[in-house]
Amino acid sequence: MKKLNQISLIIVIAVVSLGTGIWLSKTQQSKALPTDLSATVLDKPRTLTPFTLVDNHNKPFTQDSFKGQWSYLFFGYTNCPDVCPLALKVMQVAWKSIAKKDSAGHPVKMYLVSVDPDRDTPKLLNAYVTFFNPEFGGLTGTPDQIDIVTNQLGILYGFEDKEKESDSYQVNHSAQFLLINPKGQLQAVISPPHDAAKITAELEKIFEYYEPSLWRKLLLSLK
Amino acid sequence: MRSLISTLIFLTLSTSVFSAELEIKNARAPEAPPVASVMAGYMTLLNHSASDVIITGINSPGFKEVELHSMSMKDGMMHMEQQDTFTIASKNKRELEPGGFHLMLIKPKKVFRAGDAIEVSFSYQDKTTQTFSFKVK
Repeated sequence: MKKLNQISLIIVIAVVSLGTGIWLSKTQQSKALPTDLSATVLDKPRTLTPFTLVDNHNKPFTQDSFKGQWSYLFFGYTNCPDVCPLALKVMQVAWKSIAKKDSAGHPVKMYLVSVDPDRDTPKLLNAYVTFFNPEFGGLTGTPDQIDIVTNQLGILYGFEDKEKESDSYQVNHSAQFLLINPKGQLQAVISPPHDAAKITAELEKIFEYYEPSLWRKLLLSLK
Repeated sequence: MRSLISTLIFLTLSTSVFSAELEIKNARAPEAPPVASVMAGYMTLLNHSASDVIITGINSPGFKEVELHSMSMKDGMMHMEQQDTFTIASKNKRELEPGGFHLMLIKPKKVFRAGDAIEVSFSYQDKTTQTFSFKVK
């Protein structure tokens, strides 16, 4: 009888283990794409092709620099009076309550990518972005280097009245935040108008989609 | 008697000559990074008069230049467009606000910090000016 109970126990453990394994593998395929957010979350995140920029400390920054962290990007310039400081201000407010890392410990970063390298040196970028938060970073490069990044991320920009002898010209540019995941892939696009509370709340949902919790996996498997 | 009547007529006409003026409410400029070469100015412009008020020029002793710009999304990009004139219709108001029309305060002559006052003068179509100040916030 005792041996029968032992065999029964082994069988139960084996069945439960097998079932758990099947259940876990199924949930990887059945993650629900969050579609009720202001952000547009990509169901097929886009891997970035190689690029080289420099950061606000004049250090090289490549596609590999995104790996292991979540990165918000905003493309603009420091001579922007309205859109860019407004976006950085929104992110400054969001930063007070935003998750600083996901459940796997990947930190969250924020970068202003300047599309105006003639005026925005790394040193100027550093002084500019760190005014909003010392944790914010800046990226820039040569026009060709910048275009390699903007072209693959769907970011548009253009100059108006740019003449060689004058430093007074305007830059038209896209105004969305982009979110890069820890694999260095474009995961989400957040279009304006920007809202700090939504950015904070939706990042949590994007984390859940990227790496569901055990409880969520259970719920997904029951659907 | 004739001179009295003339005086009365003159006084009546003087007080009814239109002089452009706006009520300016909620004027503010967000504090910008000390290295920033531009700041934005936002406010509500109310015209209580019977005539349109047209802003034809703007300046400030604290900045090299001041311009008024519109902001719009076009072809997937945010565009600014300088306004040569800006009309506030009679008995109406217009907003200068984030993401919309705004003052572009160019090349500050000092670093403006929260609490500092910025003085701005509007020039109007009738050649009058109106000077006001608002705080950096």
